[in-house]
Amino acid sequence: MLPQELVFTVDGEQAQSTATTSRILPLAHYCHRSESRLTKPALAYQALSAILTHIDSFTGFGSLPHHLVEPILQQCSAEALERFEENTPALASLTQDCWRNLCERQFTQDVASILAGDRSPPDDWRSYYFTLQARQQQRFEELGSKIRGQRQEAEDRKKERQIVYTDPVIRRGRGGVGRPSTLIEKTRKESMKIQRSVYGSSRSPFLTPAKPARPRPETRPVKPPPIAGMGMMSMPRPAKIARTEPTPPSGSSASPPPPQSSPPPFSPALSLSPTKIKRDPMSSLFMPKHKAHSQRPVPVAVKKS
Amino acid sequence: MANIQDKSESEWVRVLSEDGWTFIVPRKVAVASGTLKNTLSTGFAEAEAATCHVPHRGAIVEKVMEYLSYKTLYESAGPKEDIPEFSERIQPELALELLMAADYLET
Repeated sequence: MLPQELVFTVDGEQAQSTATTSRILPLAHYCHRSESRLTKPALAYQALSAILTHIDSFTGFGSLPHHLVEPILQQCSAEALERFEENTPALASLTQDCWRNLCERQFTQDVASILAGDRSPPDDWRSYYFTLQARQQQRFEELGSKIRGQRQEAEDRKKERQIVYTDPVIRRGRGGVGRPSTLIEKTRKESMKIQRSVYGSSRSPFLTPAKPARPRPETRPVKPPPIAGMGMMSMPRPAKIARTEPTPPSGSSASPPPPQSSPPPFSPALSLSPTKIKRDPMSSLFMPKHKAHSQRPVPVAVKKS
Repeated sequence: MANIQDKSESEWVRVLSEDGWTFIVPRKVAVASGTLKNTLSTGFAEAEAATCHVPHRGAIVEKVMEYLSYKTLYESAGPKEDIPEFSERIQPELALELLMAADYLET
């Protein structure tokens, strides 16, 4: 049993408006004004606001009359409208205006020509809305990929301009080697390899205890093996090497010197016979670039008085 | 006639819901609703008994009475008086039926 008239007051005077199913009153008509205060929303307006606030929680309108449902549908989003149509197929007749309003609100440019009268309106505003939505989605994707491509190009250009450090430059100058430790290590490794190849892997004239000197045939040439990875270094070919093994010092316990990373300095325990040693065989194998700055120990010649 | 006048002058009226709830409210609160005002001012039985029937359940009628009391209280409020919002008191689960009741009672 619904009233045929909706009474509300405007500026202290009562005005009557006929509310039928064909005439839908806008939301503002549910407000009423009293003499003392303006715009005191009526209960119906407040209830409508509460419904619209929680519209996502509603799946249908039950037995609500059409003239009360229309203001709600006008304010709905596309998702809510779709949901209500799905649950209440009878609402489809009421929603055409709602879909048209949605198209006008969200796709103003696409609909402008229709509103201006240049084009005829579509038969179904609902399907037209989804068509426009798909077009917009496609446009966004194209724009997104274009922007991504431009950003990638800018990053690539930036990377090309960057200064990239590869290997550090080793300076060879008067002040010394850029990395002395590396050079010393390299030298040590090379000398060890040569020693092993020349004198055997277990024996070294500097690291093993002294044995009686055993002269070797002078005609026997000593060829150092090729050193792997050191193609740049050219080893001088020794002509003749007279090798004598160091004699152990008398009266002193034979204690081998501790292993060292660099060639061991000339120790008094390993005294060589001054008469027999004429030339250090290692000197011919290793030729420093700058003899003046060579780190090799200089053998001290002991003269017999 | 004197009886009707006496009864129309009574300060309180009864509002009955469809599920048997009775709400006794001041007359000036009840007449804030257009439908109830029309019902109580005519010469029908409802007017004589000062009783109105509302075809809604008790929870909805209670909320409507609450609104009518709120409206009556703050209708003559001054411009500087702070008026609370009634929308905060409307539960979403009552909103649809309340809309129907408000439409029926012209509030």
